[in-house]
Amino acid sequence: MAMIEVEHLSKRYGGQFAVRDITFSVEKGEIVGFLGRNGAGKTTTMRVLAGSLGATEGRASVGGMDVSEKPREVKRLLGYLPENPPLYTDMTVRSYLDFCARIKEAKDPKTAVERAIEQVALKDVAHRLIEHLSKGYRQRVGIAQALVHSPKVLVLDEPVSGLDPVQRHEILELVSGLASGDVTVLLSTHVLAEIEPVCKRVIIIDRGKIIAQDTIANLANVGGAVAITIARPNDAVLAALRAIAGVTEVMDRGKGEYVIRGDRDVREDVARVAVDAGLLALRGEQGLQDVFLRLIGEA
Amino acid sequence: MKLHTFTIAWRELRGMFSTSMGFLVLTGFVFLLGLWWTATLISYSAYMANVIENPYAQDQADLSSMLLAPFFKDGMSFLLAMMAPAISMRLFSDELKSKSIELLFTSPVSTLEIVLGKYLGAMGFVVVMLLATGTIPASLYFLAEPDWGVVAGGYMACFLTCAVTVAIGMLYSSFTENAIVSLILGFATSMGLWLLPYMTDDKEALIRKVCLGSHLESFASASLTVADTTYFASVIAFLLFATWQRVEGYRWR
Repeated sequence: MAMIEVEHLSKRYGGQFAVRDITFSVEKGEIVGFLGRNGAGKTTTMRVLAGSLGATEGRASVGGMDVSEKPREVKRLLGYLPENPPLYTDMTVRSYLDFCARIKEAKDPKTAVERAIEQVALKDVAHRLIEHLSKGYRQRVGIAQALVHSPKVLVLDEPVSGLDPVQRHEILELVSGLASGDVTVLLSTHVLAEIEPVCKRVIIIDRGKIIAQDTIANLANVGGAVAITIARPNDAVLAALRAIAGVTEVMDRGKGEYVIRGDRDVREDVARVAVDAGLLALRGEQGLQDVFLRLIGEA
Repeated sequence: MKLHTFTIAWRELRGMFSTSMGFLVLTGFVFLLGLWWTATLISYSAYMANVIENPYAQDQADLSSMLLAPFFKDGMSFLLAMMAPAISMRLFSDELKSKSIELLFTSPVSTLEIVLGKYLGAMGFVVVMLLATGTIPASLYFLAEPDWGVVAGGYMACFLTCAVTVAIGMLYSSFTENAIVSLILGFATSMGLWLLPYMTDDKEALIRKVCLGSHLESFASASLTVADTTYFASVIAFLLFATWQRVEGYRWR
């Protein structure tokens, strides 16, 4: 069952389209990465889903309910973390979460607050004013407000931004754990490498249009690219790589690292040539970063 | 639905006391009002001393008309009208600036509940300010025999003055992320509503009908009229409606 469905959604600011005719869905219990450059349309799409922004055209639904027709019901079902956590800095963490639990209609606000504090590891700072917290803790409080009413769908806009590597790992572990308990998660991030282990599927948006949506494994195999490091690069080796049937591009990344692209899987042929030339490292598949850069045309 | 409004109102009221601004406004108000009350009492005492020597003036030496009505209408109401923009200046401006309004927009709360909640929170602070002046009726109780209808009418006039000026300030704060801009516009409008009627002696002039002062007279003298009650109800309703529409517009920008 699709918990998030977006159909032909467009949002226009004046004459400018922020997103244009996008369609995607997220199944129950799935964690999907929503990737794109700044200004690509990620935040606009997420805000439409969360009900804080109206769409110009198209339809967005959560849990089978149209966001514009049943906004209250959708908001009870959905937890949203905006890019800038919406915090009242003059409140303590606990009183802020209590306020959030009440306006988000959590069943037992007091228990919900303690559970959220526990989930996001905020116990040590629960009594402190939010204005005195570090950026990392503020981000955690933002995540806690999205979780406090036990939503079935989580929409997280840059949830790991501002966190140190350990905190990032902890938050992504938490998100991963929630999904295994049948919570559906749509999350955007710039730290592509971090979400690779968490998201099986990604949606890539660029200039307001979806340019790819598939599993990371499938995306990595399309138009196979191979990254190799050559100890003693010379013209003969590069010519041999270029001569491999199906190779469309050999790109120099510096320090002996080359990215070879082909219109088919060229890994075996590249390996043969590279071994003869003193190959030191061969990465057989692309990382999400490579896939992303290729799809938005910047690699 | 009502619960959300009160949850938001309670947060706003607590928020006023969690910043120095709330205490500053409260302390400033009590201090200035205390000075005004003292000056009014001294002036009234001097007049009464004169009355003892001049029996013909005794008919005019009424506590309600000489002391209480002018104090509530020209003193306390005026002071509150000037300070109300400081109460309302941050209601939406701060939320728009910090983008914390997104929390309310993405919660199962309607825009009307948000507007009413914030308004009630600010009016809750006004009630605290009025309660802080409790020493004035207390001293009257022990030292004189005032017309309690006039006292109650005076407090009602003060409350309604704030109800209008807070709603004006809240409307301005929904237009700007800068709380100071909201404060200045609110202050200028309140000042205008108060002073413009003094530009004419014609009691039927339109400007007197639109502005606050002339509508407070019936409350301050405890002789409530339907026209004045309707005036306050409709002005407040219009301002809240305008704020509601403005905030609703943010969802569709």
